[in-house]
Amino acid sequence: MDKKVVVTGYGALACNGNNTDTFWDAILNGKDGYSDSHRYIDSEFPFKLCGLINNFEAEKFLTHDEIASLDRSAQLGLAAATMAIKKSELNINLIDKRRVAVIMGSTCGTNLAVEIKDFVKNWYTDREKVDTENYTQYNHSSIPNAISKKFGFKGVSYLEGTACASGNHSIGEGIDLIKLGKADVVICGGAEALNLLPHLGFNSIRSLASKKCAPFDKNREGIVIGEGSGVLVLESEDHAKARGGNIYAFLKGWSANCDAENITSPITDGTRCAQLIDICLANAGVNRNDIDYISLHGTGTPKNDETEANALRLSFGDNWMRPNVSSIKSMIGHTFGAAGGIEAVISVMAIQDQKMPPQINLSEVQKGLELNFVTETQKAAAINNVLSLSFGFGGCNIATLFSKYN
Amino acid sequence: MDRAIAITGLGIISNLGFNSQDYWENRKSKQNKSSEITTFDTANLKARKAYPISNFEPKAFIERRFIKPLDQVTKFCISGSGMAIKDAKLENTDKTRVGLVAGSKYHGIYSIFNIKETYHQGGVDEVSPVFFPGTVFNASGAQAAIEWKLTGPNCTVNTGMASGLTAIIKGVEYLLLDKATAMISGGNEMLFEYTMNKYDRLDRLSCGENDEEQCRPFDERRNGMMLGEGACYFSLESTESAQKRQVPVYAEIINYSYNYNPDEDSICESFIDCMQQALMVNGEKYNEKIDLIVADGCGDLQLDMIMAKAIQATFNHNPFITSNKGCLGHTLGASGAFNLLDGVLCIQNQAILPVQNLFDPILPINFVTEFKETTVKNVLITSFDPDGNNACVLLRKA
Repeated sequence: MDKKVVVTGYGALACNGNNTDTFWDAILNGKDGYSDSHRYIDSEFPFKLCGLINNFEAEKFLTHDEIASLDRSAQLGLAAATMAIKKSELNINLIDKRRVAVIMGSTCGTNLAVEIKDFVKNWYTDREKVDTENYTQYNHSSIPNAISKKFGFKGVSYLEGTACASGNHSIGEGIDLIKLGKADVVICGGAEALNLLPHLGFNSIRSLASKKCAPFDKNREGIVIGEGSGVLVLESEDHAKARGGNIYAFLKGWSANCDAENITSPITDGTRCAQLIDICLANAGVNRNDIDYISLHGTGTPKNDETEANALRLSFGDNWMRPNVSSIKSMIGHTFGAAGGIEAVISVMAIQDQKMPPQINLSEVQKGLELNFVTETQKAAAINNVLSLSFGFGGCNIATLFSKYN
Repeated sequence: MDRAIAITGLGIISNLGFNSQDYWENRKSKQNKSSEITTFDTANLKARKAYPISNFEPKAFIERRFIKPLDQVTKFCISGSGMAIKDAKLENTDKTRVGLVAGSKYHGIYSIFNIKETYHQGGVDEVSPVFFPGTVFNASGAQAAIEWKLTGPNCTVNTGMASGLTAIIKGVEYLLLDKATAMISGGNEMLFEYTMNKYDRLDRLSCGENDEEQCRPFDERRNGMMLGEGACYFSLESTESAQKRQVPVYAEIINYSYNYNPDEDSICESFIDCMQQALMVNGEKYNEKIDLIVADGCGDLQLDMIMAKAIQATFNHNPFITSNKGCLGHTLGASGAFNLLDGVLCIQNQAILPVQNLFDPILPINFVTEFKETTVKNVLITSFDPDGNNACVLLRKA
């Protein structure tokens, strides 16, 4: 259980970049990817703004059969995993595939399969006309399984569900699988496709923004829904070294807890999330004063932002303004189950490039929510330790800690 | 595994009963509880029957007053997990160190269709904020944490029909890594018209006139699976913790395994590999020590044969084999947890539960067709999803 876990590959795509490089370039330059084209929204729908990947090039990553048989969430996950595995330079023919596991997080899973127009029309009129492909696509475990199937991995393959913390949670459990000796390599992260349900749901609880997402800003309105995927390749340090793989970061530790208070609202005094951070730091063996950058959950809802600011003040005490912080949801919206995966990728790339992702749309910080926000684009800094925070629906909280590999 | 994990509490919401005594008696007497579905229209389906839970009263198990917003699967989860917590006498322990892992294949599906129907009929403003939370995949586990004040790790996992056993394994892993002192783990699933329509259209369900529509695990006359519903949860903790708290231990988990089969042509080999990994305990092969295998036989034409062949190839000493799906139906994401329940109860009662509706076995292996009192020390629990996910747990008498 004393094995060290390292990151040897990463891949991501979101509305502001349809592959890892363009995504990271857009992030560092503070470019958002919002559009008002949404495949579902009719004229009566009050919220059109979203983070749709308009130029997803599925055929670059997937076979025709995969495109035909997989729901869009699974396609996005497979695309990010393909990029991550390529980056890792894993020789698929040489590794022991029984020792490669896949964990993917998602909030809505494959819901899109039961939202497409043909399905809806036939379900309510003539069910015999429902395409059997719809039935097979509505299968949440196909998100991790599609990755295992494509690359022939035979280790455990499962979908992790902690709502908006799912992507980060799958990475935490990836550490556990390696430490327990259950896998040498874990492909993990999150994937989410835009679908109708969260629009309807978050609209019903009045949490959607009509303008660009502006976490911690005085005039923020709430979340903008996005889509995407972020995936890491984790390995035991021994395995990575033995095959001569490039190591991009240490993944030193993680923590999980649950508010157990309210299904839609966090505990806004930040106590539970502060405990989460404390446990994560202890698990990683990193001093809080050595944290250089924090990837915030930062959704732009009043309660999330208040919770997170309070948690950092509680956990970091007098030094709460020391670590640099930002929320990339200002640029890509809230990608739910993918968010933790995508934010893990930017955490690793920040360490790799020694540059911090900025936060945009922050004109005037809400009083009481002041933190050391990164607003400058392409900001260079010495980044040794990065904390990534994710808070999920139902009060499920996850923190992961990445460190520079020397 | 470097240490055993004790099972100290059981929580059961099933068509066979809402406590272990009722479950045991009904399961033992091979009571067929399948019936015509009345909660939704099956007129256009080939299959008409399933194993619904007909007399579930959530208020008997759930303490909060306002339960209307909770969908059925969430009520199952809260009830089953609460029962396991109380059975293990964990009510007064430090809840910051108690977590929950739920397993489900179609969690939230009722709420998802409910909200979509509301939207299609009445538009966006008709969607109620009260029913939205149920649509999220982890809602039942999170609601259970809220109900029982569990602030340890909380998540819902999905490996299809192996989800329940995978959730139990994840609970074990949290304990092995000392991320919790107790974990509540299991699975839940509700019977819903989408799933019924899906498996009916994919020709996976048993159907036919009179007694043709019947779940017959491992029988030559089998013609498909039948769906069931329910929740089954366990309280898990280290053996030392159970001893320290002076609570009875039902059985101990001494090993586990899980894997994925990416190749349709090697389902049997992959399942054998999963069993073999679970049977290797700290360098010692347990194959010959196994008294009972709880198999995932569901009446499927191909899958039952694959499973039977895998068991035949793995064991030379003809251990007893049982399956509960003739009494429960296939509870999908909860199924693996119910398989573990059978193993636990067989150890506790030193007897073996029979396979219902099995008269003409597909292979000459040791299927138990009548209730049998015998020594049961070590039990292999299996769970299986046709998409390629396998999970196994090795249980021993405490």
